[in-house]
Amino acid sequence: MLTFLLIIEDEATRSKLEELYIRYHKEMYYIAMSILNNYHDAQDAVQSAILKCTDYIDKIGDVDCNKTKYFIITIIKSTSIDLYRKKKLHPILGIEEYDNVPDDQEIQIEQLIIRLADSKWIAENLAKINPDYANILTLRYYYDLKDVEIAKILNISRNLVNTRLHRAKQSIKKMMIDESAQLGEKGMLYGIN
Amino acid sequence: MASTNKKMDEEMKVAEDMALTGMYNYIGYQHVQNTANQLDEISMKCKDIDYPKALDEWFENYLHTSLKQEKQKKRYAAFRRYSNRAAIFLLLIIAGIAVTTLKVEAFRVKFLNLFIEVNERYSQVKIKDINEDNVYESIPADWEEYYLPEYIPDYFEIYNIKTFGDSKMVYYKDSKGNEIQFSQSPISDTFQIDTEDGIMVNVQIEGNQGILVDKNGLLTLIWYDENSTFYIIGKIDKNDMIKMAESMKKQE
Repeated sequence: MLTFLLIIEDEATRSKLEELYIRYHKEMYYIAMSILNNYHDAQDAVQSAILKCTDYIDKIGDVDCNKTKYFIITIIKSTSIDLYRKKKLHPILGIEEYDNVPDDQEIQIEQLIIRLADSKWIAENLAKINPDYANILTLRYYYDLKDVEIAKILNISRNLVNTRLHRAKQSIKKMMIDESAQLGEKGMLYGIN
Repeated sequence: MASTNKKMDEEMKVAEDMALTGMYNYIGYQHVQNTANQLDEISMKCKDIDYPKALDEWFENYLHTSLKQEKQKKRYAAFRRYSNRAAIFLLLIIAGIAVTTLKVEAFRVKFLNLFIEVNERYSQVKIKDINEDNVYESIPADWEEYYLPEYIPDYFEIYNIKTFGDSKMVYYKDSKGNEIQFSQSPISDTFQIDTEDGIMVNVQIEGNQGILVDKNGLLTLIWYDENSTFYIIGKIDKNDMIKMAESMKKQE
């Protein structure tokens, strides 16, 4: 069992953390076990994740909302994966596809607006390509977190945050270019037919 | 024309960036919805899992410890708040005393020369190294600005006169051998009085502050004026001693 020195500063923080724990403790343990496959490591991961939540408790609103669910799942996954890597059980490699998109390939702004309707599809595919890209993008643009905060949540360096963010954007660009090309071939692009 | 085109390009770039930021935000929103759905599925699966009690105990202990530390922190913060106020108040008092001491002479003399420390064995008024010097039968010619009491208790007369450094001492004795010592010293000198098991009271001698110690009938009266410290020691009546002190007259 890890020794913890963190102090919860006030009653509101403590009570929200308690709510989070009661609501998500089983889910967190389940996810940790599915990654680590070890009883003790999973407990350590849950403890670390809970402590990490303490740092971001002010960013958590309603305990039951989707934003909180995402936050919890991201933290427990990143904590478990980090613990997994540290134990050197198995190196987890990110699939770095859609890596080198030439910068001269631009997306027209009108096409961006069209593709907004496909955001759900883009989000799904981005997560399939590399979940880290989807997470980085979400934490930066949807949660409006700073690089330092994102690095801490995902247990990576600040440099890697910027690198992955850039690659996430490149991946989205390439997805849209490829999709546009396919739709264009089929004559389905807006304004062409 | 070229600069106008450049400005338009820049504005378009800004607009594109804003559109992209909005899109990333929306993608993030969709990713959150997708992930939240995954967690809902996990919630269904893990309803009946065997959750380790050790984790529940750890969490309970963690909350309890943090509550305790929060209370300690609050107590410390309150202590610091009040001690800061007390320190400021004390500083103001010290500053007030310092200003008064520097500006008001009478206060300065009394404050600086009568700093009395009472401990278990001694009441220290001042400390002086006493070196025995000359012994006289009459007032020495080189004595200047010395005091003598005009009132002496009945049956006492001068029998000895001594000089110890800057101190001038006159001894009185009666027919029964009872002795009274009277001493005059510069204001900077100090004396130690044995007050253990004695009764000490503050007195006023001609408007000057003094102390009177009664230890088993042996009285010691110390007082001072602007230039000198005086004491009288003897086994005499308290009123006689005070009367003797109040009758001090400067001899030319």
